[in-house]
Amino acid sequence: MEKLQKLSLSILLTIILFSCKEHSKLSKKERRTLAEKTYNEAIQYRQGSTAFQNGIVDALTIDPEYEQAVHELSVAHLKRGMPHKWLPQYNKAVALDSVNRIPWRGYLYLWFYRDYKKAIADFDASDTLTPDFIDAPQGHSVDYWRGIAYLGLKDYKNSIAYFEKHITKETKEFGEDYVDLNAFLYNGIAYFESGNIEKALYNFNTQLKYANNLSADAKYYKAKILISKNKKKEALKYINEAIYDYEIGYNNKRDYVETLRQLYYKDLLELKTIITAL
Amino acid sequence: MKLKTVLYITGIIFIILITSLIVYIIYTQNKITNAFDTENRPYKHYIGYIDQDKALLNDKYELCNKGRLVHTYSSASLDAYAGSKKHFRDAVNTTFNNKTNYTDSGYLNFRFLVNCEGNAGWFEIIEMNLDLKETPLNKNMVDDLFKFTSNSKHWDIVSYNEKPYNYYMYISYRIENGKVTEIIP
Repeated sequence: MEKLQKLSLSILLTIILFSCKEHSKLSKKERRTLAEKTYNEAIQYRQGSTAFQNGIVDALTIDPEYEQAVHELSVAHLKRGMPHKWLPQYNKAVALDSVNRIPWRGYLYLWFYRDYKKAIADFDASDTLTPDFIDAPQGHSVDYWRGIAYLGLKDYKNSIAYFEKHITKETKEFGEDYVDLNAFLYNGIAYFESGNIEKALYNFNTQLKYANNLSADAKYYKAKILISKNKKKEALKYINEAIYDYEIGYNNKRDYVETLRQLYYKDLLELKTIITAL
Repeated sequence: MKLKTVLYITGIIFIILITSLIVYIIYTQNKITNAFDTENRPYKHYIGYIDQDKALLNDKYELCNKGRLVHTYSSASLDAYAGSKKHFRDAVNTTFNNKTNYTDSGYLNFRFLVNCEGNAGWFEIIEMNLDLKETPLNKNMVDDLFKFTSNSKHWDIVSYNEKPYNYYMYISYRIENGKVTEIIP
């Protein structure tokens, strides 16, 4: 078995050496095809593993301008808390495909580094790069992401403006029921924090309408609004429902990192204590 | 006679199938072995690997389960905070933000392991400016946040099927004018 492994390794190395010599003779299209094949084999392994990373390096040896591979080499660093290694590699992908990678970088600045200003700068840059098209990194328009980023900065005027723009556009093109529920939630939070209670209530109610009346977050904020209206009994009803929704998993959260204005069980219990004491 | 022929053909097919299977297994095994061979390759370890011999606080606790780690893909994230991240954030405010007068800005990342008993150790520190470039930060500030972060009371035990495991975790503090303004993840 050991001999067989050594033999296989020798054959493979010979092939690699032979291939290296041949790369320069390949056309651009042939190089890309071979790089894609090598890349696709590499990504069969766990993201960030040595086989994954080194395999992608092999793909880039064949075609250094293969943007997808350049980008993928950065991703594990992002997820594992190594931004000093993520950013230089990611920016190499930006140099090859700024149209796609700049709005994506904005999304990553927003969630993985909570750098709202850099995120907004990238979302704004995408407007210039694609003036006739609203980019949508990770499935949401840059207007939606800008709404969140401005909320992070507590710039409610801009936050609300971008959420309203996003909601209006989505409603016009696909219908209100198509709009992401969190757009209503975050728009509601922006209105709530800026003191516009009625608009906040409208957005929380709209979220609940399309969420089968299940959202710990919307009900938590509604309970707060009801407190301000001296409606203790209704506030208590909503916070109890919020606690129930939270317990069955209907609260705003995201993969990998905490979401903006994420609520915890303790937040709900604290509000219930306040309401009970009124 | 016919039965003999059938058995003969069946036997041949069986041998071909078994041989093919063995060849396939050997080929796959070799392919994987070669893919993970790091000799003369740029990446010697998986991304996020912590060299336990060089890590800080590497001799205070022991790893369980022969050192097996979980959550190496993207950290234990919110599951790692004892109580919840709300507790952790409150503790950062009371023990750091409200008690110190540093002026530096940047990102301070700690990558570390927590053993199956919830004890944190094996730390690596990354100091950066707000552009994510490695830059030294105020030493006392880094020490204060290291002392805070390495306090095991902040970290939970992570279990699967009621069995506790060692896990990988990272914390990124965004610091503006000496105050922690964001905590990731």
